Amino acid sequence: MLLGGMLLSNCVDKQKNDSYTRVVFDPGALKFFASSVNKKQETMAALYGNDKAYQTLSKGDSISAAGTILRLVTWRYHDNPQYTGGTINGELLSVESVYVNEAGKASYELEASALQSETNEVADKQERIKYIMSYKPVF
Amino acid sequence: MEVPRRKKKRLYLVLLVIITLFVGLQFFNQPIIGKPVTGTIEAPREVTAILERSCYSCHSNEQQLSWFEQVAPVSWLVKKDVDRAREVMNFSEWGALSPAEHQGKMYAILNMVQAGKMPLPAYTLLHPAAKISEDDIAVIKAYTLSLSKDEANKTAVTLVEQPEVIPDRLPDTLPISANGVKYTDAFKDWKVISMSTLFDHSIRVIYGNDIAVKAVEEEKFHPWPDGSVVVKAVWEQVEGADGEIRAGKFINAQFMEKNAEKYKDTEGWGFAKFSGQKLIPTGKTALFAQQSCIACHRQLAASTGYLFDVPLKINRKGLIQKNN
Repeated sequence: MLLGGMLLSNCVDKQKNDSYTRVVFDPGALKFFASSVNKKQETMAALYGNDKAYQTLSKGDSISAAGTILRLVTWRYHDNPQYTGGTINGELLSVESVYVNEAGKASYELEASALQSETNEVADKQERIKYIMSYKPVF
Repeated sequence: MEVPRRKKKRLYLVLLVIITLFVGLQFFNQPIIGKPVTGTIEAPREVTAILERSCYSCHSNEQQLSWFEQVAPVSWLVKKDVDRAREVMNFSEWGALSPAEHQGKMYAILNMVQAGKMPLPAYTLLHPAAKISEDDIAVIKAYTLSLSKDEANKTAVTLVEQPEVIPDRLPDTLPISANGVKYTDAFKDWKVISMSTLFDHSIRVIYGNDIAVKAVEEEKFHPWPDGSVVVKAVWEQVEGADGEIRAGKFINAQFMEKNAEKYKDTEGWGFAKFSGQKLIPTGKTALFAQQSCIACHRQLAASTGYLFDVPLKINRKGLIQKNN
């Protein structure tokens, strides 16, 4: 009885625990372009961008289109709790953005303030810009 | 003295009616259709021994039924179970499966036995010998995972090339699945609800329309609201020199469309799979979803309203979400 009661109350607590949620990333006006999986770091990433970014990435131009906005959203992944043999993204780790100004110069921004990971230090911003620009759209 | 005799007579009459009915039922007893064994599963003996003991009674053409299972009305239930079981997975017709399908079926078996969904509890109640032990599960798991490793070894490491795009279709050339689910390009503009990979070396992106995204955020899974549509786009994995995996060849786009009335037989979900550049729909008849989709979704994903790949509930509320 006691155990049953404890289990029940534990269950009820979990149900009521609303500090955790199922997050669907809202990219605003940006569109999903591509994804990647990094097994070493156990991360998955989704790249979003605007029309200018699509031009830049799909054409593979060395000169980025002015007004390009790219956003790379990285998540930790886990074994899928509902299916052995599958993995699924879990904790949101970082949101990185690349902006290309009118002069064609790309700048990098890491938004990590409210995120779970402490990956605030970016060793080489130019490397990250190059990496983010290496994706090809799947559409 | 008259009363008990009348009672006795009535009792005999009732018994006679029951026996007549019972005998009569046997005339409507449809035996399970005998089918030949065209190719049995090839796996280590320790694995096939478990499958033969716990699965073959339903999932094969080699039924060994007890006498009570052959008598109506029990036989009707047994026939229904066997027919459905054979539709989903038949160890006697395993020869027709490709190595990839063999692997997929083994993962399905592993997940079903691990979750305690198979063999059916009602079956093991009458056939205790068919119960699957923890050791049995360990044997099945070790074998199933070994298939993945074999496959992995075969996959050559190739450099990332351009991912194969899913073609845009003109409105009047949109393919339609046999159960009525219509392909749409619209998902390319929907939000990504999750990303996943599977043992078959695929990389997947799961999109949801506005109704589905709202259902995820509000956890409206029981049931999902009508009009929810979730699309899973699947590509082969391509590994870059740095080991990072990206999308390669496009494999298929898998649709799940919620309409409780229209898709009653599959828990209200219309399933569809459109494959390759021509987006060819899977299934010649609407039955395909009952045969190859809903079985796993029903048994393993009931907690999320029959969907795998629903975002995990592990992120704290209040994460930044930047809009443009």
